Amino acid sequence: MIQPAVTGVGIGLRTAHIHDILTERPPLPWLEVLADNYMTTGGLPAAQLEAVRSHYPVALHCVGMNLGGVDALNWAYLRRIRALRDRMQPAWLSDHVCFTAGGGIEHHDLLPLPYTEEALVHLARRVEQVQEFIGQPLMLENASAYLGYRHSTLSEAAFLNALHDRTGCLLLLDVNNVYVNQRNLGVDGVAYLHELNLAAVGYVHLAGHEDRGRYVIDAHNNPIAPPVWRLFERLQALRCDLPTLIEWDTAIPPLPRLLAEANRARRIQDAALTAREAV
Amino acid sequence: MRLSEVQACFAEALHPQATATVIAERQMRLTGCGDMPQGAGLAVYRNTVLGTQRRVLAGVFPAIQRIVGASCFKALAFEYGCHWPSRDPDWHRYGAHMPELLTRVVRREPAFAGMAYLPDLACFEWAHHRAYYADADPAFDWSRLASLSAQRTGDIRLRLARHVDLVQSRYPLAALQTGGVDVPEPYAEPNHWVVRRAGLQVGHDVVAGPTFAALLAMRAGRTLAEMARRGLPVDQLAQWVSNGWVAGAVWPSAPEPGP
Repeated sequence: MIQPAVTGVGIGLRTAHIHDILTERPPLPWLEVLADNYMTTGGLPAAQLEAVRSHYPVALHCVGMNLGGVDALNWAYLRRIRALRDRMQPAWLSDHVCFTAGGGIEHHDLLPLPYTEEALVHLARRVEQVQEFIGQPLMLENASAYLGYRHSTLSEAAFLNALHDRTGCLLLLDVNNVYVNQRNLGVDGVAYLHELNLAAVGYVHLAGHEDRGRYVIDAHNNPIAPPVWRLFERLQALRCDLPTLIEWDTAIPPLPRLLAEANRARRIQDAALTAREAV
Repeated sequence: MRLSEVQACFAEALHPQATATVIAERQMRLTGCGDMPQGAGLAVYRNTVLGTQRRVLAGVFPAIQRIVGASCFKALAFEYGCHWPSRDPDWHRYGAHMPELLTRVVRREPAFAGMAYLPDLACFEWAHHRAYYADADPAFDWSRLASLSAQRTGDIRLRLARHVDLVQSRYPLAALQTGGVDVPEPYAEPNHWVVRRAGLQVGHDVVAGPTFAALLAMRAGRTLAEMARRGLPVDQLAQWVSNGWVAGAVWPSAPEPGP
């Protein structure tokens, strides 16, 4: 079982909230920082992050490693991420199970991998290379998807379990993404939680999505939806000690609204823990 | 289907100019279904990629967007993406070619008549954006400078700080940036700006022509001696360092001659 470096429910650090966080210092156990926005060593972004870091533990979350891509790894980018890691000393360093670039062009989106042995071998080799370069295990997040490949031969959970087994990487379980894929691709979310090796999970993401009727977009622009909360509650029955992080990236509300989401997640975890102790 | 083929299919479908036929065909190859039952599919990824690209460029060039309007800027961003796709995972490095695109568009499109200032304004906005995200520089090494003889000092090639950029234009760029002028009249002579970070704040300073020429010479890699021979005001070095415009130097590599 992975022992968490920090515990409790944190929030994703967003520029709109930095002033409030630094002046009000809400009692948050940790913050997740989008590393790609803070790779510079100078100016306001670097100074703000340093100030935040002096008050809170942080995790660094990346979107540009292109771990599943077939282009060569971008060592210049990885050097900047490693330097940021060295400056910030985060509890975790994460990215996604996806590809983000190809043919030298950056798509700047988290594009899904087919769940095949070929993709698994390719991804595992690159994860190992990056872990060796960075000098620590990565934490890798299940991505949302808007299409499923006809030639996938593994379930997503089986693919992630195998990735963990082969590389020692940790898993970042995004519960909203599980729900998004349930809606878009017909993946059974509860079965997914049962199949995934939860002992390999380091922490959990919760976020809102945009419901387009026939499908949902992983837009992080709304409160966490009721079915995602229910899936999170189902997760607690299986493992209720996982650090959890609330993401909200567009149409960002005032900080108290985000803190209310974090409090709700904490109450669910506390209730599950109490119930477990009673048993 | 090989992983490389999957990713090539995606790339073709995400190209800004991909046709509906190409997108449907690629989706069929990937999923076995040209029209996803749930209605999602490659179109969602295209919308995200193109929308993010537009928002990034709008964030870098807010004054350009304000002047040309949102729908026109959307078309500019689309054309930008066709010519200059992102090649760096760091989004903050995207947009450097906007002045070039605007130069073409102003020449080509009658609707842009009277907007010849747009490329210069794009340079100005890009310089501010770069200054905001520039890495820190080490402090200037005065002691090393002081240890050199006068002759050796002339061999120094000063380096502009990474947050500094130089912009010149006949148009009132600062007023255009803030919306302080609608239809700018060109000046008789160009204005010169040093766009820079001072402390944590990004801004700009208007400088005189000789100072600007000296900073340009510095950026071009001229030595102090070469700059002095051209009559450039190298006696302002202490002020440039104090302003944070000069952050380092390429020092003469050969050792000082002995006594």
